[in-house]
Amino acid sequence: MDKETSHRIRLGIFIISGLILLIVGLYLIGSNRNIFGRNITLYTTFYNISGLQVGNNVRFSGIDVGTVKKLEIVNDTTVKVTMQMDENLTRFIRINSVASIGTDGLMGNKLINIDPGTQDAQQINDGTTIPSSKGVDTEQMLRTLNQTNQNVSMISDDLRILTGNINKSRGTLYTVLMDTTLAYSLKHTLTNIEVISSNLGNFTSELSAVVKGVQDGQGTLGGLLNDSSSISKSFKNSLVQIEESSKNLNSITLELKTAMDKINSGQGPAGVLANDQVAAEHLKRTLANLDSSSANFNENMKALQGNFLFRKYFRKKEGK
Amino acid sequence: MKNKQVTSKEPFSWMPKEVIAFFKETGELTSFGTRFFREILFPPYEFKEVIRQCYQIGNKSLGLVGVTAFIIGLVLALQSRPTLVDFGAEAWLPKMVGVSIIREIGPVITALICAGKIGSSIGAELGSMRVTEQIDAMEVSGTNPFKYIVVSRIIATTLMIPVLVVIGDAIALYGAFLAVKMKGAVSFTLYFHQVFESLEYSDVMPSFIKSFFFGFAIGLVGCFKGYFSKKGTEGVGKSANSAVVVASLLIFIIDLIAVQVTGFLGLI
Repeated sequence: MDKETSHRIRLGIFIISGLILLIVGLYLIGSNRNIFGRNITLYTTFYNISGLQVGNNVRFSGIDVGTVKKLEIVNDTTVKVTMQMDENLTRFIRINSVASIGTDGLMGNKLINIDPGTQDAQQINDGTTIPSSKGVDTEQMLRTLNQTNQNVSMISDDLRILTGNINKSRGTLYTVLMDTTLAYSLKHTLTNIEVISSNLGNFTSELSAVVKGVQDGQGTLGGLLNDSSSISKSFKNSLVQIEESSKNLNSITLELKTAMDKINSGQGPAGVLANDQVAAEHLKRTLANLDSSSANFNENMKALQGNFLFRKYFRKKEGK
Repeated sequence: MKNKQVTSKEPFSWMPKEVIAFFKETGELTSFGTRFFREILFPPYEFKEVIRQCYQIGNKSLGLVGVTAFIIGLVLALQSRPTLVDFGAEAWLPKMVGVSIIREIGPVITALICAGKIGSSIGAELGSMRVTEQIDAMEVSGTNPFKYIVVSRIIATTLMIPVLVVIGDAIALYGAFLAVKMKGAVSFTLYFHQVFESLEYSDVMPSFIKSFFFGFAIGLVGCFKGYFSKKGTEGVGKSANSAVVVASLLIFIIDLIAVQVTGFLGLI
């Protein structure tokens, strides 16, 4: 074999290898897009396709089975999506299978998910239109997450201010949180409470025994409560008399109240005396006049005692 | 006085000499390219020479392109991995590496390597033929030197660079697989499935088509610089050097135009 022939063979191998690599690469890309197999066309409609593009994958039960072939706006509320998929899968997809728009991962491309329908439904054919549902809207989810983040941020701010205030104030809450001796005191208190609780338990059991004794008629109180003999009768009589006395006292109180009301309202002499200022003034003056009159009368009487006409009489009276 | 009058009559005399030289060379290069298309249409066809050049350009460059592509793929995957790990998107590494290599890095790196190796080789070869008056001898003997020397080489570069690009892409993807495999448990099947899952015809075809233009530019510039080499042996070195520089620059310009056209056609 001469040199030229050898070169040509090498060149042929080189070119053929390049061509084989190119063809294999193109075939692999094409097979991913179902270009070389027998395909069927499916249709569905969406209100909003959320950025779905021609060439995006169509997934059935998590497996890539086809691609989006065409997007077409039918009217202002409907977008018609044409999908192309492997003909062999028609036996698995039913006419009540539901298409929804999803995302490949959190940040991946949009895709159409087809959920399996029910077994009793008819298989799809070329050109079938399947129903659709609204999938998870990542943007809506992120908006909600953003709102949640804002709320968490506000709460954490408030908490930061609160903890700052607790730290600065060194108040009760700070003491509760930071004082190490408090835990010991609290433990001690709890021990005491436990002891008290135990004592209270004993006390109630004893009280229960006492009550039972009283119910059984034991002791004085038991006798009082349970004995239907003379003590009990006299006790009941006393109670009846106390009740009657109480009634009498009540009627006296009522009458006294009526009298006081009359006095307060100025009825009767006592009322006039108590309430009428003019009458009181007259009375005061009368009493003053009476006082001076009695003094004058006393003086007159003394003068009469010295008078010769009545002197004898008064001496006679003193003699008696 | 006489020279001054002549100078004043020359057009574009107000331009700096470097600018005039640039435009002149651009015009000559365009004319050279036009002549190539004119010559390629009419017989005689130098098939033997084309095949010989294909071997020289394609097979002889495979080793260099293969090693470079392997290292580029390996390094690209290793360098990209930490950033993707930061975002928790390590699983996207095969996709990212695949798209990067097929769309951009594979064709451009292969073309640049070939511009260095093949462009300089053609420039020096044709330059030495020019300064040793072999081209003039061919013209005198009735052989069309352009058809035999230039057309065959440009055809060879135009055809061989895409093949080198495809093989280089495959080797680079394998290098990237080894890098991914070194850092994580990814099987060969899963890696290549993920790579081809992320690729579209719109990724492969533009890069494949632009590699023809890269090859054409390398051959054209190398032949042009060598064919019009001057100033003896010194000119041969200059031709080889400028062939590499201009071809590399043209590769980037073609790449820029290609990405704009791809975007305009909605393939990005």
